[in-house]
Amino acid sequence: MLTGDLVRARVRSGVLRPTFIDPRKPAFVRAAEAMVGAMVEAAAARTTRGEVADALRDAAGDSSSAKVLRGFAKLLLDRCTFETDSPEPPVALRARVFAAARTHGALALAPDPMGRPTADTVLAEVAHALGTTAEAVLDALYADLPDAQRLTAWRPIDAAALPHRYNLALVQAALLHAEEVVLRAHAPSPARLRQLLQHARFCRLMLSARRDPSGLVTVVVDGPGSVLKKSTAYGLDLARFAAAVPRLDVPWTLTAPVSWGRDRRRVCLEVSRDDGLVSHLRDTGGHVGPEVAQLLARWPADAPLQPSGEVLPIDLGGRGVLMPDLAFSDGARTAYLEVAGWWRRDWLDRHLDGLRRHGPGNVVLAVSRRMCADRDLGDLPVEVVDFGAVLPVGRLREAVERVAR
Amino acid sequence: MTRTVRFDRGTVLLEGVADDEVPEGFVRDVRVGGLWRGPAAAYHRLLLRWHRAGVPYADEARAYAPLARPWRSDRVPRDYQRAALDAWKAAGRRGVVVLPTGAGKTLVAELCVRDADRSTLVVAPTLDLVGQWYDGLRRAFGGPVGVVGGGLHDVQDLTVITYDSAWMHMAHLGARFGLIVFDEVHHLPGPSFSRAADDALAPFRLGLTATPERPDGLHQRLDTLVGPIVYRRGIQELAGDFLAPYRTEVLRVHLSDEDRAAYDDAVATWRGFVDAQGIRLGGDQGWQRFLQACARSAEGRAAFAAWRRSREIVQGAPAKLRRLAELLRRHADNRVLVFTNDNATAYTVSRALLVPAITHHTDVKERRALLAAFADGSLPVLATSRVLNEGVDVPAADVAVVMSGTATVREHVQRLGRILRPQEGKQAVLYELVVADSLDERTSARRRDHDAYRGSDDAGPDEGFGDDGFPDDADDDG
Repeated sequence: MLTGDLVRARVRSGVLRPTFIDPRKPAFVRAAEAMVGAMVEAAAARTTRGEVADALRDAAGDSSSAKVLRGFAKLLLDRCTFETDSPEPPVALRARVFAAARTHGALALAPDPMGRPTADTVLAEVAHALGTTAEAVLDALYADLPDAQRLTAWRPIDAAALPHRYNLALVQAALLHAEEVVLRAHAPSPARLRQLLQHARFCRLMLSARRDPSGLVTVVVDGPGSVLKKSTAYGLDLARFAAAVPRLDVPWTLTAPVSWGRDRRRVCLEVSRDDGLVSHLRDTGGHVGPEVAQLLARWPADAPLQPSGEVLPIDLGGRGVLMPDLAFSDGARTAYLEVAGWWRRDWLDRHLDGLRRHGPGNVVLAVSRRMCADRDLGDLPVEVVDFGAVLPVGRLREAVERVAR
Repeated sequence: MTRTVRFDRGTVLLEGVADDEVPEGFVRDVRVGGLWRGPAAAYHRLLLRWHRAGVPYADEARAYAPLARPWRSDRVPRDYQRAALDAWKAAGRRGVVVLPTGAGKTLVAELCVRDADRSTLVVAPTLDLVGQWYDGLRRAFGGPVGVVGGGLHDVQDLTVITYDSAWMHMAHLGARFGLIVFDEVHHLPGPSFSRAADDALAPFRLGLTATPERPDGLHQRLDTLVGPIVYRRGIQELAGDFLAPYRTEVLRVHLSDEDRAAYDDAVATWRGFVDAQGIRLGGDQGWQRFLQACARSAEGRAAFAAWRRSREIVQGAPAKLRRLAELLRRHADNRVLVFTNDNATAYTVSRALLVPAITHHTDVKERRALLAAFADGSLPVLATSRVLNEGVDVPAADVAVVMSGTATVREHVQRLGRILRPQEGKQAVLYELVVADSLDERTSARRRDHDAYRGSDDAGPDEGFGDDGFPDDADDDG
């Protein structure tokens, strides 16, 4: 994360815009390459944290964009693991040195005419016993302090990815002071919505969505307590959530009310797909599952209820969320299909309980016999359709006809 | 449908309640099908109401139980500690107890834990204090004591947690404790930390502090977060009888010619910049404007470097180190705490005089070993930056040397408190090393603006100071 002093952003007419950099600008490309190169060298040489910071500063050079490059350095340092590396374990060495010093009573700061012992006297004694020099003992005394610790591992990053990571970090730094995130996306696929929903829940946040007739989906992401009091308490969670947003493959905008600056002025953060942000999160599950794709291909064109991907998450009384894979509609009536991935019988029972108590009543749940973690399925209730390799068109058609309303 | 309350990530959700019986502070949450949602902290009022009305309800929220651990301490509570317990009970087991450092707040907390007899969470500001509560609770109540913070995450029915972890994890842990003890409760009302109180069910709450007032006025929120101040005693009311008698001495030191020249040069550099920019350093915005101006140009960065240099010269001046070496010789038979403003100076002292240093970088195990060696006299000198300002138990300490510090009154009162634990025949001394003719002198004057210091140099505790109205803190460094 970027600390407050490293954030670059402007407020104009109440709108907060991070000062994004052009990731292809030669100066940034060169600096990123030099800094990532410095990291690779530092990792090979296991240099100290202080030295890594110095090397990054040197690699960045004296630039008019010093603040950007300090941001690069911060993001690189965040990827590092530093550990103490010293021939003498510093804690034990300190115990030894302080105990040795104690035998001399209070030390003098510098040699004096009375010849009272100083730190050098004690260090020489300890060095003699360890077969080393007084300087080496003094060096090792606090080798475990952060700046003296050595780089033992880092999560590598491509130089080309660093400027993108920086742009996203600017947005995240602003969101630390946000109350909520409002995301507007044009006709996102159910799979992408599910991905956002899962990430929101992973970040301990709540996601609610609505769709207008044009297909524009508005997603509001905030925390459980947000209905009680608007506050920036979920800022860190919102910042983590935002990393998933650029995975959307349709036009989107993100806005967020933010308390900004020293006087905590209320402004509105605005970013969009046009800003060219790139998510560093691995993209899994953005595609349509093969069963669903096959079902769409084989669904009879003359069936009254026709499938579409125009679905939204449905809350189950705060005990869970239903994210349908498909909606079936004839213009008047609608039914939803949820395809469960890997599942267990107790999950199914809990989920069905939530559906019956809080669900919309027109949901068909399809569960794979292969993906069941339990040996014995037991009897399945009527609204559940089991399947082997492919979703059974005939039985599903009957089921959606039965529940549609 | 039965009235049901359940805990959801730092809030509570109600099902099956009629609209006219929903308490204040709850709202309909359309995100969860229009259920009523309220802060977790409203749980106790809600249950009290249902209980009194005699209506049936299902409590799916509460995940705590009676503690059922006997109190095994042989410590005998003093009268004021019993009075504090009684006052807290009378207030419905919610409220803040204000006692000076060294007056045994921990024992008051143990009495309250025993009395409430519920799973208990203790929230403390530093890892040192977490370690100390851990030891104390193990001793007093036996059995496993959980620790959350500093890389540990072990939750038991008796658990100690840092404020940092508490506000981050309370949304998960908030249903598991019936009593929460907030140590150094003046930290709680900040915008982040207050979540530790908002997100918890705990009907019973205890706050402990010597200095509840905050310069930002947020201490008024303690009423709702924890409860009102139910008991208060000041340093002067207890000194002599319950705290050690003390005196304070300000020692002026002079910079070497070389350091004086470097200091004057550095001050001239940043002063020149400040004047050229037309910045007034006094006032609320001055410091902030100085920092902003510094960031904008090479000249500004040079001015900032000069400001830091001037501060370093004053804080770690060799003249101060020499004076410290002298004091350590004079107090060779005492236990001496050396306070510095920053870690670098603490380590400078440690390297120059080979005495141990404790900073926030010191791991818990080494801290404990060093504190134990300090207590048993095998290593009778400890240098520390700010980590021992609060609460850490160093009862044997009788001499404090303040090498440098901020101008906050709170910090100074706390540092004084370190050496005031009562012991037979103890006469505590606090020395403050100040560089003559420097900004150090002004900082020193500001931090001593507290009645505990009035008549400083030879003041005893029995000069009949006024009430214990605390002046507002003033932050020097912005």
